[in-house]
Amino acid sequence: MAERRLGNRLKELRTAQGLTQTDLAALVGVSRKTINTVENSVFVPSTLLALALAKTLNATVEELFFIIDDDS
Amino acid sequence: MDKSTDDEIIAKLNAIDRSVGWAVLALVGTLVTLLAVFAGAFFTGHAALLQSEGVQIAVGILFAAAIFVLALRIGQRSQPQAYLESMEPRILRRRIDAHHRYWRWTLLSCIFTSFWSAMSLGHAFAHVGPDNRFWALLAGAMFIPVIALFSAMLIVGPGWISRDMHRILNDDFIRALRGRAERLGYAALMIAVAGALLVAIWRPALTLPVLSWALYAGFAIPALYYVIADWRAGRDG
Repeated sequence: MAERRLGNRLKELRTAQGLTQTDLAALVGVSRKTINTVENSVFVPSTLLALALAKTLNATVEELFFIIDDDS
Repeated sequence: MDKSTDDEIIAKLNAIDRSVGWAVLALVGTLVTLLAVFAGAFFTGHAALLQSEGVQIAVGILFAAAIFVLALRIGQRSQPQAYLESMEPRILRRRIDAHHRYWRWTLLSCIFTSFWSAMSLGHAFAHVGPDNRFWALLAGAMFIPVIALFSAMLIVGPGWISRDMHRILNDDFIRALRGRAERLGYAALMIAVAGALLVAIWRPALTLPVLSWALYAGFAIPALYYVIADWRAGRDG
């Protein structure tokens, strides 16, 4: 069975709007580390955080996050 | 996610800074008192007492406390200066980052403090006799609350003194990181206690010293993991 991972376009959308990680963290109300680890796929965000990120970046959750299927 | 205003968050951060200041003052006071006791014993002709097993344990505890105070001071110095406290959200986030950095230093100092405490206890148990039973009990009495308190700090996370501070400083990532550290700590503790049981079967006399090190491993391994993972998370990007 294929392993599933969460991919994201957070960095792409963030930089497109001219925001730094610290800017986005301030807007969402989390630490910069949280943004950094989500961008680098170290940390899978909660549904609440995913919705908050999407709302802040004026995008849908599906535009921001997607599933990567790794064939085992 | 926390909904407090920037002003409320800054006021709470200031409050915890003050409480840390009082904690440091209390520890420094304890150190000065202990030093006065030792100096008193030395100058009143009781220097022979300083060569006893118990004094070696007490010096270990004293040294551990000194490291703890030093780490707290370093943590305090890492805080942004008062002029940075503005309504600017970027500055506010940096202030919270500084508190996370302070928390890493606090955990590191806890790892070293409990190491000295565990070593003192292990040493006391290994050399316990009718004439130094008191000191073994004292070392045990120090180690048990120390390891329980430090474990509670790791489980609860930064801002553990205040519920409001806890909500501000523990965002999604920090909560996830704490969860990972706790799972690692549970595994480390089970392995260490199982190892202690094996040692107890083989050499019963070593049970208590090994058990104290097993408890230390149950705290130190996840704490070290938390410190390294939190530091790495803030480093890139």
